[in-house]
Amino acid sequence: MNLKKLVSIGLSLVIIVSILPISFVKAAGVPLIITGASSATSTAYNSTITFVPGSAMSTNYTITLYYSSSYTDTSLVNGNVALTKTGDGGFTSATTAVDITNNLIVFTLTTSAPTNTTNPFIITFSGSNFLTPATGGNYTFSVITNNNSGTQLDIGSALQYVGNTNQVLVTANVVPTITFNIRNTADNAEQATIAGLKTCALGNQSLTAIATCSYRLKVGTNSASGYSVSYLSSTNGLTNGSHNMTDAAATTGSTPAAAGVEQYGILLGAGSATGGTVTRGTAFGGAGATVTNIFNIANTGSTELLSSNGLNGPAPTDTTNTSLVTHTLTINAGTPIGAYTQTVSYTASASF
Amino acid sequence: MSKRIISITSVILLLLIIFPFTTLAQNINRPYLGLIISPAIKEFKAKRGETLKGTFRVTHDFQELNRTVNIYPFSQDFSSDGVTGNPKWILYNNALDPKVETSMEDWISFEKDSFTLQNNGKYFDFNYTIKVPNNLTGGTYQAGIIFTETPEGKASGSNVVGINSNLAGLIFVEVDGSKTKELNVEEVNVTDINGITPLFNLFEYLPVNVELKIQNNGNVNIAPSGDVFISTSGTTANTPTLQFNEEGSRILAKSSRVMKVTWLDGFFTISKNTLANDAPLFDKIFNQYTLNLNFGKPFRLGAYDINVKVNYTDTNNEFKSKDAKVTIFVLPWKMILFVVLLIVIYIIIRKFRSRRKKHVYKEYREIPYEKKYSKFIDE
Repeated sequence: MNLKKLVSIGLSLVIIVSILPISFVKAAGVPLIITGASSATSTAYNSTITFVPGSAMSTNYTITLYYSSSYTDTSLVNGNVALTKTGDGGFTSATTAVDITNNLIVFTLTTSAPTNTTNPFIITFSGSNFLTPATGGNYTFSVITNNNSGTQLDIGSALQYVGNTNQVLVTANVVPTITFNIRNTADNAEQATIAGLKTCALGNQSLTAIATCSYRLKVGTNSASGYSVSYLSSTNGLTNGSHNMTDAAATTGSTPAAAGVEQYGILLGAGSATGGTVTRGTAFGGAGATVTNIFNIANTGSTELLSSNGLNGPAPTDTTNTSLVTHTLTINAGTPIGAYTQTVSYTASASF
Repeated sequence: MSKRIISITSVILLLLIIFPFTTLAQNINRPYLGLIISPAIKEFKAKRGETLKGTFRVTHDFQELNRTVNIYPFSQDFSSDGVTGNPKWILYNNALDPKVETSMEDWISFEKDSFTLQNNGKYFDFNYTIKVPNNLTGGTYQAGIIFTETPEGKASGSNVVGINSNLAGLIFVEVDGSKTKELNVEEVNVTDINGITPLFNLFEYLPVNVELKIQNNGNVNIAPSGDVFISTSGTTANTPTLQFNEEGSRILAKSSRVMKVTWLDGFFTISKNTLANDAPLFDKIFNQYTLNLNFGKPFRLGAYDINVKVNYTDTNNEFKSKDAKVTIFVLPWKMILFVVLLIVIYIIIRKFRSRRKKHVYKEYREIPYEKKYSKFIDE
């Protein structure tokens, strides 16, 4: 008894499972592909619509293409639309019947054998008698296939996007910007300050040592013409009010003095720019100078330090696209005692 | 039990408070650019007597996120240095000093003498007003607004250098009236990779820099454009045409500027090597440059004419053009000399060896028969 029940249920399941897929195939929704799925308004629709049928088709089977009444079809004739099926030996030809009253086109097939379900049907429009709608929007094309008894086999639809109603114009405006910061030598912190003023401390001097301190000039700009940095000294070099340290040579620079010889100046590592070439100012040796030469930094008039002929976007820690300034001081036995100071003002701006 | 609940809740709350901030701090990869202003350059067109209004947006990107920064703006004249496009800031020693012809610093006024930037990311729109005087001739006038943190900053302490950082926005105002626009190409210089003009304009390799010194004789800033046509044997078929000033840089009124174009389109080119300060002497002498072989590029050899055409429009918007010409020679003469030298050495060695062979053969021939074959004769 139980065995009979089980067999009955099993057989029923097999029958249901075997029938179900066939039913689904018969009712298949086939994907429709429209080339030129996006089109301008009121332009000739010279596109193709393709779909792979889910069911085999034979002579006198029909394919009906439905289109929106918004398309201009007043001049559309049978010769403007064709149906083909490349690669399928069963397909022979198809006749076209345009029905502009009902906004549909019927293709009636002639076949030598049932068509396959692998090669697509291709519906092609030609000429300029079928125009996209004058109003932008999304418009549907649908395809229904029927057998010679009028039974529906496949159905599919797709949208054509006409005009720009489904488009988003993305805009962005990058404004010209210039930035300036004075950072420590490693560019991993702000330069130290005393009473709010960034400082470079040379410390207590010795006759047997060269005192140095350094910092980085970090300029950023998206200006295509680049940037420049000039400097201005508050005093004629490093001074205690009564004695000015002997300044290094200007323009050509020189090798830094040895310990025991009084000399004050800077070594300038001009660095690079991400979108340009950095050039030293003429007071700092111009293009031919090197970082090893020491230069005078005592001008009380605005003097160009360096410039870039292109943009620069330095990284958070960047010892390449920044400029290194190293103040260097040596004293001799006769250098008067005192607290020596100098204030250097750097001005960065875009080049014009 | 309630104590435990309170403790756990406190810990969770603490984590919730701390965690978002630490994540945020790690995620933001700020470049620490310091003070930031935009636009970098502002241009106006104005009528005499007109009042203009403008704005610089100021913010900061100092490493300390919550830092408040006090900014003190001031206006300052600038002019051209006659060579570059870098502003030459003008300092008047006292109020009675005559101002430069294009001075505009006194026309500019601010709503506020100072303002405070709040923490990073907050900006301040700094408004300024420019009152164009009535008694002007037409032309371009200019000044910068300089933003500084430390207007009266003076170094304090012992053996200390104080450093002020100023950031400037440039402003140009072209005033209606009697305006003139006229350019002249004063000089065409050709230089090598070191910026030096070789004797007889004889270059060994590309690059060749074409440097145009252009004089603006008018009273309005001009941003010229133009082409540098390179030709050889009267044809430009295999030579490039280079555009200059594609970025639209200005030549200020009544000043000159040098504009440069680089010709780098050849089979042989040289580039400069970056040597460390402590690089060996051998490298400093023999390894300063790299000779690049650019396959697919033409071999440049012989005489080349460089024709320059500088274009601009005059005050009536009519197209104007100025021409200049220079001839250069490209010949890798050191390389040719080296190859010739190698060939000569090879020939000398060959000749020497040939003579030596002949001499040995002659000596051998002169040896008596008995002596030559004495060994066999004895046997």
